[in-house]
Amino acid sequence: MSGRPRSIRALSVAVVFPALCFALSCGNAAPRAPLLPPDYASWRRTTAVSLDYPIPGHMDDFRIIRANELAFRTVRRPVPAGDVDFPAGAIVVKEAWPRGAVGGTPGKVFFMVKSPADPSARGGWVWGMLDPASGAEQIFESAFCIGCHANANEKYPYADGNPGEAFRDYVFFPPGLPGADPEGYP
Amino acid sequence: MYDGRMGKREREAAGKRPASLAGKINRIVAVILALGLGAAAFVFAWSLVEARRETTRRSLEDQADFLYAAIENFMLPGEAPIAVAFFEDVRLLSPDYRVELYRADGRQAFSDGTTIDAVNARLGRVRFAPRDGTAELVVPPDSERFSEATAVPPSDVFFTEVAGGKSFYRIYRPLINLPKCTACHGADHTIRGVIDLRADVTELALLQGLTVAGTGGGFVLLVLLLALLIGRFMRTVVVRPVREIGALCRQVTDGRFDGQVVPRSADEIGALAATVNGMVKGLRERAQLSKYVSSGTIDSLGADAERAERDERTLLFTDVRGFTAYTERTEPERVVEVLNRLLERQSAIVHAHGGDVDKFVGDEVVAVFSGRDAARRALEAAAEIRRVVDGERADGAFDGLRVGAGLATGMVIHGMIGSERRADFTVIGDAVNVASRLCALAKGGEVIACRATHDAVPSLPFKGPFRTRLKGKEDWQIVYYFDGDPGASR
Repeated sequence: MSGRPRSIRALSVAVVFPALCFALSCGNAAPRAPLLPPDYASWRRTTAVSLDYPIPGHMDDFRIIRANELAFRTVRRPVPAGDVDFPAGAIVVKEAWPRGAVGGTPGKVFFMVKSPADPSARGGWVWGMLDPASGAEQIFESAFCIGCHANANEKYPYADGNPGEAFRDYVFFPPGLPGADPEGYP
Repeated sequence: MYDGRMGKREREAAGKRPASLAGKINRIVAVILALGLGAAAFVFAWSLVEARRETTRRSLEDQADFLYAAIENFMLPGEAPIAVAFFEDVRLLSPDYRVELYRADGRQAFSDGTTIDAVNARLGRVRFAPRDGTAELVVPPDSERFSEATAVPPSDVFFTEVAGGKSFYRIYRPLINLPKCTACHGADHTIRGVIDLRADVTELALLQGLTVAGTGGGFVLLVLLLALLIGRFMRTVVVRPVREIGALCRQVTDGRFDGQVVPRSADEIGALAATVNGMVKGLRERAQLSKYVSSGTIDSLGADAERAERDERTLLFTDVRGFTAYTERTEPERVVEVLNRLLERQSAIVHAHGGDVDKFVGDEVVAVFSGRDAARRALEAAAEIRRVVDGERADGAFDGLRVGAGLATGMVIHGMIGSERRADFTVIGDAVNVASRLCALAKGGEVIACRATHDAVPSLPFKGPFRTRLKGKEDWQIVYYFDGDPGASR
């Protein structure tokens, strides 16, 4: 007789289907699209300073800092006279090579994308890292990145040191610092 | 084709007692309740535990943030002794709450002169008074959670811990070596240390256990109560009416048509009960009708009444001899009683031999036999009627009356004969007339058959042939006297 298996099937559907929906609804969200454009290496540098001294977080990696044209063009006030406020869409990228392996493809690429509306943003920026070897991006939602970069909004031991404690929007080397070419460094 | 082997289901069906509807309903109700309410109870208990855990975790994180901010603000102006005093005060707040500060290597902070010496050396002056002592290694270097908290990038690590019969929620909060810290501490490291907050949640865990146990107990009681109520409801609404309908059907199977089911509701079960009642009523009416009308007439009611057909039949006529004289000398009640008994016995014998009583005409019985061995069965029925009537005649059951019988076989026309207001499904034709004439010819106890009936079963014990004239027939007719015993010819 087919009645019993049919009732078992119906019961299975009644129990398993909602459970499956519940499980799927609890699954991870879809991966986000890459934030860093692939041509970042062609962007202009924001400082000519040789960034090879050790700093917490990046240690003694050799570093080059670049920014997209939007970041260069739209810094609202000249540095260091006043505050800096990057517009949404500005991107600052930091290429890092391990000491002794400078040149060629960087080992890691750190980036910060101004996107205040993004749920992952902290301080108006989305903080992340690109692994050039795999092309995978990792977004940092912890306080680690912004914890250090918040120091850019007060006196700090790099560049001009921000003696006036201007708000520099979490960027230690914004375009326009003394000693930096206004056109940037290719 | 049946191959002699039983399938799994057949074996199970043969070996098991069939499950009752009440049992199935109870099982389904119990399973659905257990799954449905069980899932709800599980989700409730799980969400409760998780909510408490998350609340505590966030609270610890907030406290770690406050401590972090406090340390940062104490240390930046170079007030490390204030930070040490602050930690000592916090430790005294509650015995259920513990706060510790470790260096990145897992040693107790502020417990020796290592950091002070390094800071003084970096500043090139004695900013802090040197301190003696040996820093205690609190967290083993291979601690996975501590390594996670001091990795780059670091992360807050929340975990539960059971020690000394108590339960703890614990969080490792890494202290970052910020750029502004590098003037004193150098820039050659990223993590300065780890804040360790530990909260005793033994009572909370006990409360959670009680809550989960209470929820589980309540769930079990609720399932049992609902299963009881729903099971009782289903038994009343479904099982009991179905059982009553089944009992009624068994009565009908046993030939009793006087039962009925009382519809208890206006739903599908009630409609089924009403339908079965109607069916039983129809069967009862048909059974009663069969006493007065031939089964051929009853069968024709559902068929095309206008359709007449020609078929071969064997007609059996019986008639009580000397009945008119008997009615004149006997009380009417006795006449009816004896006649009914005679007709009843003959009717039963005809039915037993597969015949159909077409009609009773006074004391005369007209029976029709059709199909295979119709002539043989008709002859055997006639012989048994003779044996029974003669046998009971000796007991006085029939007041000494006897019956004569005539049989004829031939093509007849059968169909609904009569008017629109009154009609019978009967047969007409020469064989009917011949059988009637032979019956009139037969004396009490005699069975006379026509030639066609004899020729259908010539092996039976007949006497004859004899020639006779029959009313309405110009030629001599060949007839036979049947002497057979109903049991001997089989």
